[in-house]
Amino acid sequence: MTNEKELHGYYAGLRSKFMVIIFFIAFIPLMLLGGTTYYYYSTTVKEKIRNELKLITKNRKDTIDLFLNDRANCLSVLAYTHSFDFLKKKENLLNSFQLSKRVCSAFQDMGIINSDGEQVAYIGPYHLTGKQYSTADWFKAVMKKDVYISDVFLGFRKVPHFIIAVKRMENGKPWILRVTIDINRINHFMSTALLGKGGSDAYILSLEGIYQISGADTDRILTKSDFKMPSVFRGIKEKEKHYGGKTLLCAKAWLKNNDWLMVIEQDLQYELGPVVHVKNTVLLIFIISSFIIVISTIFITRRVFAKLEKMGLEKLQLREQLVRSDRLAAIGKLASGIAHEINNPMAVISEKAGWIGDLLTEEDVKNSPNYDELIKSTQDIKKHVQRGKKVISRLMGFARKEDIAHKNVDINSVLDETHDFMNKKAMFQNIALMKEFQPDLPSIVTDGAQLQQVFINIVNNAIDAINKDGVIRLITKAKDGGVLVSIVDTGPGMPKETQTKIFDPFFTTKPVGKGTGLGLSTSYGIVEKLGGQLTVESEVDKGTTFHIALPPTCIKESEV
Amino acid sequence: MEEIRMLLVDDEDDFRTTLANRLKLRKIDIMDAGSGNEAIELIRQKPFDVAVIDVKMPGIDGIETLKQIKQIKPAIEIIMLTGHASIESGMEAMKLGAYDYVMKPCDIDELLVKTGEAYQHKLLKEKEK
Repeated sequence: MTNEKELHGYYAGLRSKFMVIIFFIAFIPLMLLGGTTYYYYSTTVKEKIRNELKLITKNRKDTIDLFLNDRANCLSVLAYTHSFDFLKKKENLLNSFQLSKRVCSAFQDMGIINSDGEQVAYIGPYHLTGKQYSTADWFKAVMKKDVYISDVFLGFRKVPHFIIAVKRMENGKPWILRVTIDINRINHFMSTALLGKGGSDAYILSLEGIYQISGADTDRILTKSDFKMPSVFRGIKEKEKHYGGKTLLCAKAWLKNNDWLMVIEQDLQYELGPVVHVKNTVLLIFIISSFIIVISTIFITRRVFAKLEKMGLEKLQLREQLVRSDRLAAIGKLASGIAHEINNPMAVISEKAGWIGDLLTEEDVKNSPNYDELIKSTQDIKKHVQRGKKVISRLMGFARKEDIAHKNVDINSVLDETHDFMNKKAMFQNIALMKEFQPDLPSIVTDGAQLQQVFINIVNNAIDAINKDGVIRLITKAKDGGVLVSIVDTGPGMPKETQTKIFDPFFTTKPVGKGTGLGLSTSYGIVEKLGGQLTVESEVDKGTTFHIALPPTCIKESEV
Repeated sequence: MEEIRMLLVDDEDDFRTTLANRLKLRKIDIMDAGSGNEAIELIRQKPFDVAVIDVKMPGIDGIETLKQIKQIKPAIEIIMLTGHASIESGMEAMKLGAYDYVMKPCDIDELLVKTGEAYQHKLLKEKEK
């Protein structure tokens, strides 16, 4: 990581990784918790519904079986305690009918049928005396079986009903006692079997799949059901099935000596209503938690990483500054060492040249034809020694530890002087030197004269950089109790590589002999000595800005 | 005006002898010494008006030589030659009693002017006594 962009990229990548990890860590237990809660709750509820359905089905089966047996027994008792001759008298039959109705409700009517199939006596709401039943299925069946409970049929009365018939042999001839059972009683048993309202159904099918008890849809009585008839089994069977987009819980039981199949269906979705509610609640909690997690994760990671990045950036800048200071210190040391070592030979050269010059003034040499040339050479040597001396003196200035003056300084007026001093040169090159000062700038304790040197140096560089036609702005601003001076030029700018080197001693972009490459390094040293910071901001083809941030007071004294 | 009696102290032989020759040419009564010890010996033996001393020398350095000369003969005015182009060694020397300092490589005219001043200063002090 050598620059801000890389640092930013590094932290952005790290932040994304961090966020993903936090999401996973937070979501996995949440999903596990929600999922298992929902799963166990729903299976428990389903199990409960199943058991309830089984229990109800068993209840109904027992009730209906008991009901039918009870009625058949009742009828048998009646047939075997009375003779055919007795019962075929209408008043006797009426008596018996009313008596038995007291014990066994749900008898609709009662009839006596002789061995030829003719109903010789009848008590009931219809006029069925003398009706011929010899061709009826039930008549044939009862003649074989002694006790017979029929399927539901319409018969002469054209109303769905079923009968219980008992055959008795008397004096070698059979006769039959028959009652009609009100199917509403069975309907009633069945309708109370329903657990809930929505989507549930309870019905009875005959062996052939004909609806005996219609259940929810009364129109389908005596029609053929598309129910797949199972083979005979004992007890209760229960399973889930899908029908018409619904999930039904279906319980079955065989009744009436395996003649009838009772089916009770429950709409599972309806019954699972509370589970759906729980599911929705869990889902809602999940969504809200996720939202909170996402928001807080983003918020927290952003804040943490903004701080981290800031710290990283500060560290980077500090390191850059340290590296620069180190480098400057090292170069300063080197420079002073070299300067001193070069100074002595230069002094000798200078003296020798001077001595030659002195000797040339003596008579005998004066007449030499090369006299003028020799004098000029000694003068040139002196001139160039002076030039070298100047470079060394500036180099030494860079390494020098000068005392700092502590005075209240109005930076605006210092820059005013800079402006006056440099304006002529700038105008000559058609460069506008503009002042953009904050009027109520606080005065700071610092060394105005040394700052002046820095300002002039930078403005001078800016003018050289622009060369012709352009603008240089001198901006002052109060910042953190101190002052921020920005010198903005519209010059050609410089690439990043150059920016890192401009504060190095001897680095120059000016032509040979024009710049010593010591101006900015000296300026940097001065600003640092005054407790401030000199930074550069530049973009190729746009211009360069130097920022000089100065503290309210330069506490650093002779420690530097 | 009588000749100024000067002692030139510098460890760099080429520099010292050449400068001595040039000063002799400019009517200075010059003697030279290659080290601090040699200079102190000469001071003890002979009278001088002005001493020009290089700050940086092996053995006893310029500052130390200055201190000792000022102890032996406080009346001698001293001009320091600073190899360093820095002011502070010169300033330090002046605090210790040097009259002035000249930066190396020095201009002979500058050195002559300062020598003249130092000599005048010495005469003035003697008169006051």
